Amino acid sequence: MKYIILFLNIFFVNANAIEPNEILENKKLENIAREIGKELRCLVCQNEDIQNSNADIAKDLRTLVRKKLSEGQSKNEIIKYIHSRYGDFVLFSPPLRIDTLGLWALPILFFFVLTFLFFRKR
Amino acid sequence: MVSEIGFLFLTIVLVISSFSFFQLLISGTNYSTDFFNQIKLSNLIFVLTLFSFICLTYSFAISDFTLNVIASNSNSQLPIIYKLTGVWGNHEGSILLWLLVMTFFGFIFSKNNLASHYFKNDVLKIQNSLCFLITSFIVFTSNPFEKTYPPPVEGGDLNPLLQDPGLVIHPPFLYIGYVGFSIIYSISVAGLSNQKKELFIDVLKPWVFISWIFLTCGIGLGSWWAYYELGWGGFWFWDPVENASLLPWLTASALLHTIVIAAKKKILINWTIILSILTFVLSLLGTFLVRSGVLVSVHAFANDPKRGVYILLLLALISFFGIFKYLKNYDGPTNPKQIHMISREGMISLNNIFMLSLTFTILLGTIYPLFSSVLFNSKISVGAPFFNSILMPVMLPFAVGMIIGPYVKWGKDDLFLIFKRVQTLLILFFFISLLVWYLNYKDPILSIIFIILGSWIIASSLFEIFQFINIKKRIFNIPKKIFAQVLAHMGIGLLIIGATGSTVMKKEKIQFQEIGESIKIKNYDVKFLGIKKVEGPNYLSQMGIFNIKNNNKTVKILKPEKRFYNSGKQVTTEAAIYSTLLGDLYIAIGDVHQNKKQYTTRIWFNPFTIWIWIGVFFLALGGLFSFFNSLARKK
Repeated sequence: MKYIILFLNIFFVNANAIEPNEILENKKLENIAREIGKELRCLVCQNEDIQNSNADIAKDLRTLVRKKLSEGQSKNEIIKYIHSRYGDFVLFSPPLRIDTLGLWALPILFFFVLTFLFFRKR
Repeated sequence: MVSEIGFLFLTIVLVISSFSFFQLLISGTNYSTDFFNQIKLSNLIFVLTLFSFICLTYSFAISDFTLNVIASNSNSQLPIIYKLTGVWGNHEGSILLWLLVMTFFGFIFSKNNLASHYFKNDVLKIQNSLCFLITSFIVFTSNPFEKTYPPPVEGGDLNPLLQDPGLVIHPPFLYIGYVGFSIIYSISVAGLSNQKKELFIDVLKPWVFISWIFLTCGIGLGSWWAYYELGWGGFWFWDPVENASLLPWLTASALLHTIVIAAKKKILINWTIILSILTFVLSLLGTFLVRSGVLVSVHAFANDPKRGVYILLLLALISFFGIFKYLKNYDGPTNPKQIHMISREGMISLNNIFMLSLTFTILLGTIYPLFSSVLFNSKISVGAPFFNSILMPVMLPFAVGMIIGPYVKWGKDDLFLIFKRVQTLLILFFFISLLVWYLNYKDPILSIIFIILGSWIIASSLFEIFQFINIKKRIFNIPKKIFAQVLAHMGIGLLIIGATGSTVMKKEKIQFQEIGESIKIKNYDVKFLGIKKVEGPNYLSQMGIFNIKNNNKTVKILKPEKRFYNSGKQVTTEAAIYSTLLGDLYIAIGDVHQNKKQYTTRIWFNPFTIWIWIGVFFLALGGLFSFFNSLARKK
């Protein structure tokens, strides 16, 4: 039980993550930072992006993203860099590969099969 | 003592419901060889479960810490209301509530005078058997009456996040919805062996609507709670648990469209049965995903693999029984001729295809990480960006279907004729779009598109009533089913507008705010007046006082809090919200800073957010009209 409370603490309680001093002056860059933040998972949390997590690693990643943006890197470059360092788990939208193909292909297949079944000639 | 009696009642329920279960194994759904009167059994089961539940509630009320669940999930300092609702603030108690609702549905069904005595008996035999399975799950893996030794002097605490009025009513609503689908399963499976399948559709209908209404409200309440309690103004997180509740909701929504054709045109009856079975199976699957701990989520009170395996077994048993019964009684297709896409039944079929594809995609996204770690040994995440990218393009054909669907005729229709029917509406759409664009042209293009879409749905629904009056030349006596459909569709339109406003159009100010400092957001001035220390019944609160001015006139004093709970050293944020129809001003207060004068404040303006819940209310209201309509028809 203690563990669960601890876990809930990390997960929820301090959900107000981003601190005022993290925010970039440049509004355009800050918006891009937010977009990136929503794509990346806080690795120690459950189903929470780094944007809204209070965990240390999320804060580090937010800072890293903003630092790289200020250095002039693009959204894709930054996501690619973080992906290469932390692996697939960090991406909320998995990369398209042979083992993740099903995630996109199966729904489309399902849709067409169902459409056929409903409207087929009898 | 009371808890021992509670457990005794539960054991008797297990024994009595096992009669139904073994009867079902021996004679199947065939009344003639039955030893037991299932109607009497179902009433007995309900009354005993109710007694058992009362015993548990009483034990919570008097803080009987000899019980394990109470020792770890309740506290003598808790306000009495949270002591009582703490019954379902933990795994064991909430499963007992689940059982109570299940037996209650059996009880109410036994009083139903629409079904024949034989049919009632068949349905209740299955329902009682389901109760047996759940009771065995409780007794063998999740016994709320389990003792702890030695009993602690003081209990742990109910998770402070759950100490909230929203959470008092959210679980019961959700469960009534979820578990209501058990009776739909029972009716459908029993109906399969009936000679004339279409006969049971009328019996089924009211139960579909009532369960759907409760599930809709349950999900709505959950998202409302998340919005004000979690402190950053989100209302939907694509958390596995939320997905788990959305899956049966989607199939039930498909079902309540289909059941209308099944009852009226006697087609798609097999499909209706499949959907009924599927909806309950998905409810159970949701429970499995949440309670087994295979997908860790905030709602997982405890991760016990034993429970996971047990639920998985129940799930397999119940699904296979449904499928087995279906295949055994399959007597050819119920759609004698082809369904044309351009027809009312074609539009409803399209609705079902989209709903089911969405269900499939969300289910796949939720469990894919599990698959991929087992099959490919790769650890991936599927989260909000994936689900949003699927949902958004699907909304478009959905919306178009909702707009023209009601204007399409049964049998076979013609695109040109449909166009002629709705041409006034199209002109209306044009002006609505201009108006929306004029009012919101500064906002992101995506938000404008979705708000226009939402407005179109609302307009076309209202236009339908207007057209009905125009054709029939009467203002009164508009049929309930038209109201039902118009209200529900308007609800979706409102929901789209609310969701778009509170996500895409959100304005944000996050800063270290000094006492006395004003922050401008939208057309509000938010002045930080100071901090008050408040002592609650079981917590200390740091309460911020904010004066909200709109055009130099004070409209509201907002008091967001940060609460420190005594028992578990936990902290919660209580946001303060000023709601208007145009948007919510939302304030959350954070930490104090070195000089003791500055506090982190997070201020948002969330446009149209209140329309999300007004939309949910419209959906439920539409469901209610359908429910009464389905009752009235029988008489």
